[in-house]
Amino acid sequence: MSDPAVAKRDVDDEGREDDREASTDRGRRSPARGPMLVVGGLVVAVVAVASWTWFLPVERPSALTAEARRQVGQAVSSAEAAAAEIVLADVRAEITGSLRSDEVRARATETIDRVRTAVAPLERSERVPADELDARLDELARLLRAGDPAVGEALEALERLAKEAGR
Amino acid sequence: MSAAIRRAVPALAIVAAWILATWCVVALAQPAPGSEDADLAAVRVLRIGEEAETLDVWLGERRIVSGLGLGGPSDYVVVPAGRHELAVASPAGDTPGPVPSSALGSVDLAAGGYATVVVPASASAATPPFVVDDPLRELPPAGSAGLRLVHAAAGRPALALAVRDADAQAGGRAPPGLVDPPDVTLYAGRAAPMRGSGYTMIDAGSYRLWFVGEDAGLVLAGPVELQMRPGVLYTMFLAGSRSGEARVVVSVDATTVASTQSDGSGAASLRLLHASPDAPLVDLLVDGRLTLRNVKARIPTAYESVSPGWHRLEVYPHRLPGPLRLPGDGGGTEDAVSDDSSSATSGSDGAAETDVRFEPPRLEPVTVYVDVRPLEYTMLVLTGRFDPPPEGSTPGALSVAVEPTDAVVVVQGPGGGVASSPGPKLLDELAPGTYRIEVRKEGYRTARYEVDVRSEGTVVVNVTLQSAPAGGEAVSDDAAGDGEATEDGEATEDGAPTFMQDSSVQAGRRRLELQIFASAIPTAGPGRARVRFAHVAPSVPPLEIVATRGDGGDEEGDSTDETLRIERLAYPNASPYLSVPAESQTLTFSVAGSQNRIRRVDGLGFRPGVSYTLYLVERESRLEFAIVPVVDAITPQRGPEQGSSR
Repeated sequence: MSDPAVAKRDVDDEGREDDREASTDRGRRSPARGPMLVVGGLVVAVVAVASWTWFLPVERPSALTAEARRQVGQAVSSAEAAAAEIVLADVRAEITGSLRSDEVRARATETIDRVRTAVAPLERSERVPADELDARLDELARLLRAGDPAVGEALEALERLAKEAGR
Repeated sequence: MSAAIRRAVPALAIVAAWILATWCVVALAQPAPGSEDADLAAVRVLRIGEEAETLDVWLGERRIVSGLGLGGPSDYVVVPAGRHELAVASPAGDTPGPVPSSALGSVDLAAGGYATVVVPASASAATPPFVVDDPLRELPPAGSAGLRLVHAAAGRPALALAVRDADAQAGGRAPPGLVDPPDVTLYAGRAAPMRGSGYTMIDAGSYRLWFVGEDAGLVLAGPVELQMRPGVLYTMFLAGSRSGEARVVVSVDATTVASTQSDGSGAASLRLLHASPDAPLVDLLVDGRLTLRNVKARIPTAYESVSPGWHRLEVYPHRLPGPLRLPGDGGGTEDAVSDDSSSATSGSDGAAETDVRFEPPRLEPVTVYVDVRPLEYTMLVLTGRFDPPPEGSTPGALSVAVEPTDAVVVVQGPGGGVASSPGPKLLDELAPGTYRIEVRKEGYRTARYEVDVRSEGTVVVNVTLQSAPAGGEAVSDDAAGDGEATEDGEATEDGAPTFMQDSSVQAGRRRLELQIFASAIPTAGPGRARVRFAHVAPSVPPLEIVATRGDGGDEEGDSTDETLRIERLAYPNASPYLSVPAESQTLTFSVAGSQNRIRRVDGLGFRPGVSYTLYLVERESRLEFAIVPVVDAITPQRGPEQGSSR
């Protein structure tokens, strides 16, 4: 944002001015350029002030970073829940597919719905490691397949764990 | 004057050509009309203006956002594409009845696209609402983040987003207001007022950002700092008006989920899925460096950053396969010998007594050399059996598909047992040996066939009967007679039945292998999910995969509700990403080329905006596999709210 007239002045390799107009600028100012300099200066000042009003630390940097991190975290937890849904559907299909009688199948479906309800908070909880949850679900599936009455006990243990994790 | 015109004409021609070229590029980049997502659009709302109270935003008769404040934009909401009337209203909660609203005009939402609607607080605001297309098509390459600019500050000049590596000038002062920021790494997008730029891909890391006016090179806002994580697409909004303060808003548009746990920049991404049903925990070494340890079965690891290029990958199980036999030990075993020094100690004891040097078996890794490419996300999958049972000790399986489908199939086993029923047949738990198959139907030639069922293998036989000539039943025997079909299945003898056995479907047990799946990750369309399947179960035959809408209460799904079909997926391959509606689906897995169903999973809730890979992972039992889902990417979105009226 310097004076255009000054900016245009070119000097060749030997230090001579390139053109006659530039040579007239050396060492003296044309009286007609005075107002132009004033106007130019004013323009620069106005632009500077205007830009100053914009040039503000508009957000605290850490707040912006934290917001982006929060949004990423939200997306990740949403994705984890989406994966858990598929796993549960697969576990349910495996269990019901292996049961022969309709009655047992209906009971298993009811049980699995309880499992689904219990597992949802566990999936979100950081207190329960994924492999522990996986092991508990595998054990439940095994008991269900075997028609073992201990399935009720295992389910209750899972629900207790879910309650604790939800606190 | 004429000279001036002559000088201006070429310049004008160049400008016109540039505009035309830009328009062509933009037009080509748009999704083709009539695509699978043609009826839906995804829209989110960013609010500008000074008023502090929250507002509800309505699109036609749908309330798409409740209680929108001056923070970031809302999540994407899936709505029908086309022209909608936009209005804002005071929050209505769940109160029934009409809500006083302020109409803001209409907006056009492109089919199959994502868009941001920037709305002022009221109709009297100086800035009208406007729509910016969000070019969400593909996630950033591995190790990179995507950044774009949306200029939502009315009355301000065109902007560029200047980005500087935070390390380039650690602790540096804010630059003076009349010049560009120093040491700019790059300009991530340029946008005129009420427009948005495309995404610029940049190495993940910490950056400082400035909003720079293009015409005068002025810094209009900044600096702001942003930690850009790999695999995430960001939009930086500059909101505000001439009279008001500038406001910078950041939004996360889409993210590859697992890579967010890794902050490596400019690197390739690598992760491991342990899909062996019997292997212990494993460790992964990359070029001799321990990179992943204690990897458990069926739990995919997070991405690890590695430099692009060739690497030696070694997967070490935590113990030796099978029992460890010691010298002079007639059958004694050591279970689960760990990879510490215990085996060496046993060996030295044995050597002292027998004076025979005993070299204990060493852990052998599964080793592969891989060219890890910088732009792709690479998943390594450990497949196969760690400790396979002796050959011949385990059963096999036989799948017979027939045409016509009601032909009677009779299978006679090596022990003389006979199974007979109409329709295709899937027999599991078969003792290895030679089985005779007879397929018959009135009016067709009877086909007889012999196959060798092998331990842990699945033989797939497809038989198409030929019509019998009038005057009686004809019988044709398999010319080969040993179960090995003719090449490509077509019997060549005149009058013989047409049958086909695909020799490549002799799926069976394999030892540990490392399979590699690498790809770019696409985003899912509005209201839809993207799914691909990876077959990583060597003992499971090639599969046909069909998805149908709903929970599939009937045994047979309605074919008109079919949303996805993969004719044949064999180990070790992955399908391309396919788009499916984000509704409850039923997946049916059959032996490819037959109607023999192996597995059916209903109530699968694919979420909108999510890209999945479903790994079909071997289980202990024959013909069984589990689904290990991996969410590759997510663009948060939902449907509009229901039960409200305006």
